[in-house]
Amino acid sequence: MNAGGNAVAEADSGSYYQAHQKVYPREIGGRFARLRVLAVWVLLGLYYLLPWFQLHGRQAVLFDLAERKFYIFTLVMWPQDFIFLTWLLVLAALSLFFFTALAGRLWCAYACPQTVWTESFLWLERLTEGNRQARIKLDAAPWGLEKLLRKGSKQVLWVSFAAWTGFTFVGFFTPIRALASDALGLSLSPWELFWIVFYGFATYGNAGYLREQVCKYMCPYARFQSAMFDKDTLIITYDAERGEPRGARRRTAARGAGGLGDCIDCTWCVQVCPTGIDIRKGLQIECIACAACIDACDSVMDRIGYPRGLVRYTTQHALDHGTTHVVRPRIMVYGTILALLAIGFGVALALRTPLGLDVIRDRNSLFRLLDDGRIENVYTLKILNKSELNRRIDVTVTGPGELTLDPAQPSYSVAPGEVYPAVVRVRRDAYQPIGSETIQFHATARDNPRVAATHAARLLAPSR
Amino acid sequence: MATPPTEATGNRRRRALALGAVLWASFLAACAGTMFFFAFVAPEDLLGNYAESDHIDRLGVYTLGFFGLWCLGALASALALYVHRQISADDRPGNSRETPS
Repeated sequence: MNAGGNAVAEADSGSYYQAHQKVYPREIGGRFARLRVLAVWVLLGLYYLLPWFQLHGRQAVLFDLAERKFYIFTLVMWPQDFIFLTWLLVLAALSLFFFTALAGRLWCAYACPQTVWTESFLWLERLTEGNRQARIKLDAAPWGLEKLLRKGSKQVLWVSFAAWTGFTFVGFFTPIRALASDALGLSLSPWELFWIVFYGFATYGNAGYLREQVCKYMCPYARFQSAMFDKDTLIITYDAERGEPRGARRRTAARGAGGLGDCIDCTWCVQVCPTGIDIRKGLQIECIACAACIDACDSVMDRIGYPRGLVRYTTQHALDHGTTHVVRPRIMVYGTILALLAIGFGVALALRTPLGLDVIRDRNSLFRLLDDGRIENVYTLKILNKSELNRRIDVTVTGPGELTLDPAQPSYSVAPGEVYPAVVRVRRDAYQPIGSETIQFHATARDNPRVAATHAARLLAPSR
Repeated sequence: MATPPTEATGNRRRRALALGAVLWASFLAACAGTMFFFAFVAPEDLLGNYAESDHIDRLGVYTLGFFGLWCLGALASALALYVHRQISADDRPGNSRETPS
């Protein structure tokens, strides 16, 4: 019996469209399980607690859809700042590429909401239905009082957790404290209620029932992530060279006795897998790199006194007895683009002024000749105060020739978030210099001259 | 314990998977689309004179916008899938319409 892992792979590969079989992941402790639990706590902690933090008398992080304002701590973003959001999304996508090329599906294993919520739903399931064996038995058992109680309490926990999740989700988009009092007073607006139910239901369905099927059949990332892999990417793999031929043995048998490899075929790696695959068949698209099989195998190796790492994080090159190159062209290209974009984002954000200025020329007339020999152009200035302060904004104009403004020293008090429409007239000697020119409007906050914006406009004049 | 795959369960499963792919892809597109669209268009601009500016339920407009985009995306995905399946079926050996029987 010297069959390699591939022979096993062929033996039970059924139809692609076989009926779904429920996966009962066995719980396992270990280094990577602890890491994932930590990630779950940090990420879900952020998710559930962040909306409750207050800053400057308002919610610290709030994507206020009704007011069309995004508060991110001290930063206030307006629809005009949309470019930053797009930029951030591009950064996120590139980081995903970079880390995938470097270390494989880290995202899937530790950070994806699907993983994080599935983990917590599984935990609730264990709490009520017991461990893997107990769950399998319970599902097979006929309905009775115990099954009803266990399944019922699981549903109560799941539904409450999902409802809280949906509520928190809406709390990111509408002030959560008001939302909470509305919810307690049963006076939620229909849309808020709808989104709480919708998001809660999606969480319940995805984390409670669909689980690994989302990764296997729906997730586009799972399908294209292999394009970012190369032979130096960190993958989780079974060392077939060391493990095969696998087989059960006596506890007292010496290592390697009977020509057996290190794999004792205990199938723990299969039982703990949340996607229900056998890592010993090689790298598979279903593998979300959660490393549960590493923890499982390590604990078994410890118990029988073999060295750890029969299933481990490694690279294809290392497996082929080559050298792993962490720094390689792919990493350098992704890394450079990522670094440049991140620096650019930081600089742009730092230079962003909380003041916007838009200038619209009066469309009704090109220009007007005044009795004193000057021409006049009329403009509507749109002054946007993107800060959270009431601000007095002074407007000046510069350009070729001597320009005067009417009103003489325009100054406007603009409330936070207000777009103030101000009509100003610009006058100039009609024939000097000749023709139309580009002029610059400047808006400056009186309390802080560094808060300033400039916008160009055409000043039309008769040509001769 | 496991039910062996039959043609009926296979078809049901195939349909469920297709539905999942169509809904999920269009959901992602609708998320991005809603964000882009409403960054540039305020709900009150859409409603025009039909709504008093004080009484706009923006959340409602966003919701309808999101689901509208989701439906459109799902329709496009489903059509693409349908056409693709038809073409692949035509291309299958022995199934070609050009082959004289």
